[in-house]
Amino acid sequence: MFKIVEQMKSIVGEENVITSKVDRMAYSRDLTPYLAVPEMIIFVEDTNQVVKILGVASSNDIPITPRGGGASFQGSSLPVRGGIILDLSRMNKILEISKDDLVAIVQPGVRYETFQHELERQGLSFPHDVGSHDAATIGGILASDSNGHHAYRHGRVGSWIQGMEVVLLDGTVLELGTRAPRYNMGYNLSALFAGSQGTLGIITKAILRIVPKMPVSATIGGFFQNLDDLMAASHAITMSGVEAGTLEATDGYTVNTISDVMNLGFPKCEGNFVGDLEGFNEENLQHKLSIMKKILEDHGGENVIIARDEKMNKILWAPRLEIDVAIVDVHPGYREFGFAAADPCVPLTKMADAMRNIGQIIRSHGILAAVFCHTGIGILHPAVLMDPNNSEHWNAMKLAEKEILEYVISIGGIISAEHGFGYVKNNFVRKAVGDTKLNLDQRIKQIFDPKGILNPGKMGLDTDERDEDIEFVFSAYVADKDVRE
Amino acid sequence: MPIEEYRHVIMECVSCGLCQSNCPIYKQTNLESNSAKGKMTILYSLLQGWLDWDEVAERMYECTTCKNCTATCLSGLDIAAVVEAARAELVERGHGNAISKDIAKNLRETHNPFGEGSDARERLKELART
Repeated sequence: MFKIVEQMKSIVGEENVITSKVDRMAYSRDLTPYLAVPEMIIFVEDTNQVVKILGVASSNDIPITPRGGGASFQGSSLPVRGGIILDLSRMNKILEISKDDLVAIVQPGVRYETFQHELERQGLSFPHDVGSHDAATIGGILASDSNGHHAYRHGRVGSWIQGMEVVLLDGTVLELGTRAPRYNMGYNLSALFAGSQGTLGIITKAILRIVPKMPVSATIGGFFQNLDDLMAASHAITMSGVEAGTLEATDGYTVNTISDVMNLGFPKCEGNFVGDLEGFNEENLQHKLSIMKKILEDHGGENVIIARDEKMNKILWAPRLEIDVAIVDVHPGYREFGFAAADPCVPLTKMADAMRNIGQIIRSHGILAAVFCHTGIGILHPAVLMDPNNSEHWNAMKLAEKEILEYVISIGGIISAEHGFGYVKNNFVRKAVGDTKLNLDQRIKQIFDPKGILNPGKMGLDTDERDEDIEFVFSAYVADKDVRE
Repeated sequence: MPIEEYRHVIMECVSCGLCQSNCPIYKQTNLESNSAKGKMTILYSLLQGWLDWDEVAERMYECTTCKNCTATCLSGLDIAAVVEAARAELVERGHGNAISKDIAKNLRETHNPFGEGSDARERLKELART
């Protein structure tokens, strides 16, 4: 390993290859309950360095896991088979923003919110409103094919890629697309790399479609005694043709807890709704708001509130965004984990039942649940809230995630619609996609990564016994065994 | 208070990384060990016995305790308090940082944190008058 470290240092400089144990430990986590320690962290600053690093890794069969902000919710940036963390966070330049061509050219380490603020300063937007904000990098967002809160209106980020530069394991620098708005030239490889979670190649540049920022916006929220009414209201908004950015629901337990902790005075309810929308002028916005407000009230929505300023906006979004703050107030030591049942999707007509039943499944095992739903697109975000020091909670979480995924499949849903498979869903992939699809995926992986060293242990592509019966939180999986010795 | 008393805060960190882009140290290095998230993992490893006190010392001193991380923390955690507790225990265990030792020595010997003589104070007075 010493010889390899020296080779890496000759490529990127001594200070950019980190091997101290304390730093390797710091890179061993993301939002999942697993812990995996790399053997080294390498910072790269340009495409040429990535080509050379991949060359050395390939020659020596060393696993290499790309990492931007390390904000993955499903373990995709964890080095579960050890090896190298390729830290792309210093490739963080916005290379160009073109208002005329409506494209932005960025390096993978650019943070989402930093990017969005720069765009907004120029009257533009990359409008997905990715939930991890400035924790996420563009490279990670593209490699995860993220949704963001505004996926209801704008879809996943993958379809916003006009072009990209990807370094392949054999050193090829693949250029896909241009700043021309559309291309349709054979297999859509941009779509393949979007969501590939670093298992096929390293994204080193992206040409992204951008749009004008609408000048006015608002958030609207209301409270429902019955989740069925809430979902009916949400669907009526969709059918009205009003182009909301997002339509969201939060379960009653969460709304009531947050209201109590933050002293917000929300009415007791089975769930609350929040949506946001934009307008090209005030009159346009007010017209849309009046339609949404009437629909919410006609379906039994109480205390329908419209927010036009930051303070009120935060209050309306609090049930959706502040559970992590509230839970440590109510139950010190508790936290949320990225687990396998974090992003299932169900048919629109099943959403209300799914919110209730999934919450009930989690609670039946003695841990707490918060359940969120992107009501326009059927995606649910169950959150387990538990004490990571309690082994019974760990066992409860493992049972709950299995039951939830079986339930979701039983009602015609799918197990992963937003975060991707990552590491946490490894043991559920084959059942979810079937042998034929998984075998095809493995053959695609084989084309790009015949040695199986690009982010190994992910997406169920090469799952083995190491991924089964994983131990208790954080002592769960240590790729580098010497850390515990 | 020993760092063990902060175990629950260390465990409450969800490792989301919202602490990174506002951290004045992380912004200089992009090293996750310098962000609050990295520090909580380091301290967790210390509590588990995977790291020793001397190994974590340097990273614990690389913090301004400005609380920018608390301002953006998903769980609203007071990271600076944890870091200060770690530092206090580091000092007790003989791992005080070199700069603090120099400052203490200078104060004892010259009554000036930079080790400058009394003429430095006179020069400051002169500057204040102008």
